[in-house]
Amino acid sequence: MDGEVPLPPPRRIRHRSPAPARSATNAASSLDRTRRLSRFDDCSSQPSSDPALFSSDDIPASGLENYHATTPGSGRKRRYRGTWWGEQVLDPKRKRGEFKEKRNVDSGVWMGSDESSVESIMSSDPAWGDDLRKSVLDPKNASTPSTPIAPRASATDTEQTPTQVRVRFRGMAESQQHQAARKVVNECLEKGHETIDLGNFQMGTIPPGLLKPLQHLTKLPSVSETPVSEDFFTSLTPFLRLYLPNNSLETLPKDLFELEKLMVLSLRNNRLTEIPSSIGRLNNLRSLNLAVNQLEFLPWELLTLMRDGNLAHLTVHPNKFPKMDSKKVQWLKRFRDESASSLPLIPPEAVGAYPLHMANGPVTYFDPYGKVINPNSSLYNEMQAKATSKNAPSLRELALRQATKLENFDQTTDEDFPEEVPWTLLPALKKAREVCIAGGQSCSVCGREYVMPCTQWTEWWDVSHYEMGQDWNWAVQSSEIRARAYMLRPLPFRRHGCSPSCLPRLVIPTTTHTHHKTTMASQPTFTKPNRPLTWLITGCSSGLGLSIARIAQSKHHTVIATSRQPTRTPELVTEITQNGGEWHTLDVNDPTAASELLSKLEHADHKIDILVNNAGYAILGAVEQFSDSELRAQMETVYFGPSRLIHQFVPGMRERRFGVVVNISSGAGLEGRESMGAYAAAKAAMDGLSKVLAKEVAPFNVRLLTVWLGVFDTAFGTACLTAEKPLPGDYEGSVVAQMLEAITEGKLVADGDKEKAAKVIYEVVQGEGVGSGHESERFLPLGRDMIPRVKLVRDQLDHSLDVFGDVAGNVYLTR
Amino acid sequence: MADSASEYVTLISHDDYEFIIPRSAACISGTIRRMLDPSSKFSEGLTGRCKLDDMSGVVLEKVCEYFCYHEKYKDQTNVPDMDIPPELCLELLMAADYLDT
Repeated sequence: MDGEVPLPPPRRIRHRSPAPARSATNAASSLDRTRRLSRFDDCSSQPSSDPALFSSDDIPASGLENYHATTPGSGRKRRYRGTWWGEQVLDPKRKRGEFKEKRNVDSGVWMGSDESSVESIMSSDPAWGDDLRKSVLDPKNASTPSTPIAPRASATDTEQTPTQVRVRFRGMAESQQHQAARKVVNECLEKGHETIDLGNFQMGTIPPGLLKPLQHLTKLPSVSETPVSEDFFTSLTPFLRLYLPNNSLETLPKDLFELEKLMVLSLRNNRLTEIPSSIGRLNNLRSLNLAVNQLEFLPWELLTLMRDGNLAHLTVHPNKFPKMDSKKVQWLKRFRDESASSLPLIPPEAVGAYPLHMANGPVTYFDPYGKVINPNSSLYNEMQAKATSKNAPSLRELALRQATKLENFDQTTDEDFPEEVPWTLLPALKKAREVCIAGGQSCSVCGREYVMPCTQWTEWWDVSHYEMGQDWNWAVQSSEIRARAYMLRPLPFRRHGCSPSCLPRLVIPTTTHTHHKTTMASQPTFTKPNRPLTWLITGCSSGLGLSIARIAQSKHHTVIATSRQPTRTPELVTEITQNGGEWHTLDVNDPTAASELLSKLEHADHKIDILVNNAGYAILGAVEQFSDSELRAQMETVYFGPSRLIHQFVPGMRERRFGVVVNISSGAGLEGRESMGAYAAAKAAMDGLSKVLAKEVAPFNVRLLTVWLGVFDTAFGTACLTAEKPLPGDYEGSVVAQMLEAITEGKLVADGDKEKAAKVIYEVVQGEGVGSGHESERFLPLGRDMIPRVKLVRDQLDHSLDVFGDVAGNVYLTR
Repeated sequence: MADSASEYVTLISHDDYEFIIPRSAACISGTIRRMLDPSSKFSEGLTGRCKLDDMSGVVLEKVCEYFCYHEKYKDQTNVPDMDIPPELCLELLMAADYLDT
C-alpha cells in the first residue's frame, strides 16, 4: 500500500551550478564552500516549509480516495481556526459528555474498551497512593487542591475531551491555546480527518493527553454514491499527518512518539534543541520537517527510520548544526585517503546509496552522575580500558531504569523527590524523568534500555537523498552528479551508548590487542580441565605431526600417534610408545578406518581430548589439468578423511564437555595459489566445515582451531603429486609452471621452522604461553609468508564491500 | 574473629540482618572494597564484617542479590536485566550511590 500514497513532490528543483574548481588543489576553499552550501544553499532546493493547507486545496499528498473524506471537513476546520476563543462546544458533543458523566457516576458499568473511564474511576480512588507514591511524592501535595482531578477542570474538560479525564491538572484550568488545540483534535477525531493542523497555536508545550486519542483515529469511509465494487474498498487506516509548525515547543511529549500510524510530522519553526531518540518508534513516518529549530544534532534513530523504515523526506535546514571539522573526526575507510585535507567527493559507486556514513566524532564518556569525564583524567582511561569488557549494568542504573517504569513518575516535580535523596542523585532522577516522559530509550549499540548514557558521539552521515525526497530520480541524476563533482554534505547525528563497551564500530583503541577484542566481542569462552590430555594426531611419520606429538609427550600428555604405514618408521613408533604413547595405523582415505580406530581406542579406554588433523598431501597442477579422480582423491584425504575423524571423535568431546579439534589447513585454502587448485578446494571445504562446527559445538566447550600454515621445513614438497595430464603448452613460463617446477624439484625455500610452529600450536591448544587468554580464537596463521596473504584476503573482502557494499545493501524487498 | 583475607564477608543491615557473601562479589562496590581493604586498617577490613547503617534488611538483601548477579554476568554478553521491585527502587538507588556500584 505504500506506493499508493504519494508524497508531496518536490516543487522545484533548482540545480546547483557546477563546481569544477573544487578539487584537492584548493582544499581549504572548497571545504568552506561546501559547508556554506550545506548550511544555506540546501541541496534539496526545496522550501523547508510544509505544503500549504487550504480548505480548498486538495492536499498534494492525498490521493483520490482522500478527496471525499477531506472536502467536507476542511471547510469547518477553517472556521475553527479563526474563532477559537469564541467557539463553544457543539451541542452533540455536550450530549456525549453528559452521557459519559452519568455513566461514570451512576451505573458503575463501562464498556471494556473505554480505558479512560476505568482509569478515571481508579485514579480518584482514595487508596490510589500506594507505598511507592508515598515515598516518591511529597505527602503534603496530596491534600492540596491539585489532587488527581480538580473538580473544576473535570467539569469543563470531561465535556470537551471525554478521554482526557485522567490528566492531573495542577491547580489551574488549561490555557486557551490548549483548549483550542484540543478542540481541533477532537474535531479531527470525530470527523475522521487524517490531517491535524495545530500550527500557529503559540503553544509553549503540548498538553498531556492531547495527542493520545489520535492513536485511535479511524478514517471515515469515503464511499458516497459510488457503486460498490472491489475497486472501491479502501483501507480505513488513516494517513495521519500532524502539523505543529510555528508553535514555541521546547520539548516533545511522549504521546507524540506513540502515534504509530503517523506518516507526516512537521515541527517547523519551534524552539526544539533536541529530538528525543524515541522518534525511532514512528516506523511509518514518511516525511519529517524539523526546519527552523535550535537543533545542533539529529537523533541517530532517524537513520534507522531511513534504512529500515519508510522515512523518505527529511527537511532539516536551517538549524544550528555545527560544521564538521574534518581533521577531528575519524573517517570511514572508504574516505580515508581523500579526507586529509578536504571534504571528499562522493565515491561514484555510492551515489544513490543512502544514507551514507562518512565519519565519527570523538567519543565522550559520562560518569554515573551524567557529568562529562575529562579526557585527561584517570577515570577516562579507566573507561577506555573497560571498552573491551562486558559489564553488567550498575545497580544505580538498574534502579533508575526501574524508576522510569514507576506509575506517574513522569508527572513528579523536583519537590516530589524525597528529601533524603542526596543532591548528587538529583540530576540522575531528573534524567530518569526525562526518559520516562520520552517513553524510554534504548541503547543504539546493544539495544538495551538505559537511563544514563555512558558514551556519546556524533556520527556524520550524508542523507541528501532523503533531503531531496524519494521522487528525485537518482538513476537519472547520478551521472550528472558525478560530472559535477558532487560533494558530500555531512549532517551530525548523535548516538549514545549505555556502557563503556558500547562504542562506535570503527573506534580503534590504542593497542591493536584491545581492538581485536572489541571487534570479536561475541566470542564464546572455553575452559580446560587441569589434567594430562589425550592427543590424537594424524600423519605423525614426519613433519609437523611428529613435532606436535613430541612436544605433547614432553609435557606429559598421552599421545595417540597415527600414520598410514607405521612399519616405515619403526624408530619413531618405538620412541612414541616408549614415552607412554601409542601408535596406530590409520589411512584417512579408508572410509571405515576412523570408526575402527575409535572402537579400538574406546576398548583401551582412551578418551580423545584433542584431535589434530594433520595428515595430508597435495596434487599440483593447473585446474584444467585435473581429472575427476584426482580431484576426488584430493578431497578424500584432505576433506573426507578429517571430517570422518571429526564425526567419530567430536560426539565424545561433546558428551564430556571438553575437546579441541585442530585442523592443519593451509594458506592455499585461505587465499589460493596457482597450481594448488585441487588442494585449495579441499582445504577450503575443510575450513568451511570447521567454521560451522565451531559455532555448533562451542556451547559444549568444544573448540575448533584452524591453523593456516605457510611454507615450513616439512616434507610437504616431496609428498606432492602432480596431475597426470600434461600442462598445456600455453602455460609455459606462467606462474603455474614456475610453481610446479619449484615445488616438485624442491626449490621451494621454506621459511618456517616446524618445531616453532608445533610449539605455538601446542600452546594455543593448551591456552599457555602465546596462546594464553586466546582460547576462543578460531584461526591461527603461522609463517611469515602467511601475513601478506591474510592481509590480502582481508583487503579483498574490504574492497568488495567498498565497491559493492552499497549495492549489497540495496537489493532488499521494499515493504 | 574472621580472618581478614577470608573468602566470605558479612554485610549487616541496620536492623541486624546478616548476609554472608563471597568477598569478590562484595568488592564490586567501591565503598565496600575500600572498607574491606586490609591495608586500610579499618575494623571492617580486619574482621570482614561491614555494618551498613543506612540500609534495611530488605534493601541489603536486594543489594546482595545484585552483587551475585553482577558476579555471574560479568564478562558476558546478553545480560538479562535484574528484577528490581518498584517500591524499592529509590532506596536501592540511594544504596547504590552510597556503595558506589
